[in-house]
Amino acid sequence: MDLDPPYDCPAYRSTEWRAPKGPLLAMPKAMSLEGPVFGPSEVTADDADLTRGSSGEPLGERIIVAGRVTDSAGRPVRGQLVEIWQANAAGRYRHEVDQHPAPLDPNFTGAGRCLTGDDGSYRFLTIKPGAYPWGNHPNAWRPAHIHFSVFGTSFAERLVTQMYFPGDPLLELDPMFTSVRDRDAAAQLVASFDSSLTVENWALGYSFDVVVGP
Amino acid sequence: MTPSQTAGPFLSIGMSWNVGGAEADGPSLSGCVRDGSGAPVTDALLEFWSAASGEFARALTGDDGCFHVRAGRGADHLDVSIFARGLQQRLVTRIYLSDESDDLDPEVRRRLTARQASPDQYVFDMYLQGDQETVFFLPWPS
Repeated sequence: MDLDPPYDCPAYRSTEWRAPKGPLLAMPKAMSLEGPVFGPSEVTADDADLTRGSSGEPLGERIIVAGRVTDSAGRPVRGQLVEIWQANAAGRYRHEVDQHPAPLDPNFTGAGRCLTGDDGSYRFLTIKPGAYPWGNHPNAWRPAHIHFSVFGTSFAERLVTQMYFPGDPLLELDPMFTSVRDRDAAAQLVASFDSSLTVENWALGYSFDVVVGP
Repeated sequence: MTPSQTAGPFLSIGMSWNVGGAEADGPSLSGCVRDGSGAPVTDALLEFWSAASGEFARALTGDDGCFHVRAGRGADHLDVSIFARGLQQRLVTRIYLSDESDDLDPEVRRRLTARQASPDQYVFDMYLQGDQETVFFLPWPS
């Protein structure tokens, strides 16, 4: 859609050799009819808790990230797979390609998954990721973000995006965020602090809804 | 509609479910992905969807930029999504495993037809950009 960032984006240097020159053809109709279906055996309840899985708890601010996945007509996307991944509180990814000087957290891997409920809702428990430097341009820093991978009800409704945090001064300096030209669309990438999701004495909460489809 | 953002270089941490797609028992499909400078794309995730068999599989490209996946039996074609650093939206294409005709322009079909290396092995290389650029579809319906 026009609201998506363009493939070719000189400010985001990795697009230089990877953006297709096109033109891209119209999507065949059959691609928008069906998509993979996921069953409850694909995930466990623990998969949605990124603070688990080690002998200790990860460092950083515990947060609940929750919302609903719907299509552009507002219908809930039910029983579909949502995957997230992120850096730790220091901004370091547990991936061999990230070797920048921020500490790894032995108690944090940074990946989770769940299935949406009957009303399209999803919920994760994680810690707030830190910003991290990258080599795109001098003194470049990605705003704190959580990567989201979402399946809709058909192959056409597949979406991978990033969730950002409100009030982050790095957003307006970020080539990826600012390449979403429509400012209202860009605002959809920013989560809302949500008091109703917070748990007293334990975790803050952020709400992030995802709309798939054209 | 929520806009897309790139999956970034660390996508293998998060989109890990069903990498390998072990359950399918049809033909194998391999290929190598290159960018516009001819360099192998070593950090891509490919997703293969067969509407005919209802099978879904994922494969990561290796250090050589190549992927290997098993298709479901009876799949005439696979619909493909490609995610990687440097792609602000997924790339969408289709790989044909047979030469039956359908609605698609015959020349486009020809360019998207895999080479059959043996009765059970197909090969389809992909080029994100350049003279040999693969035919890609818009990632959303019009």
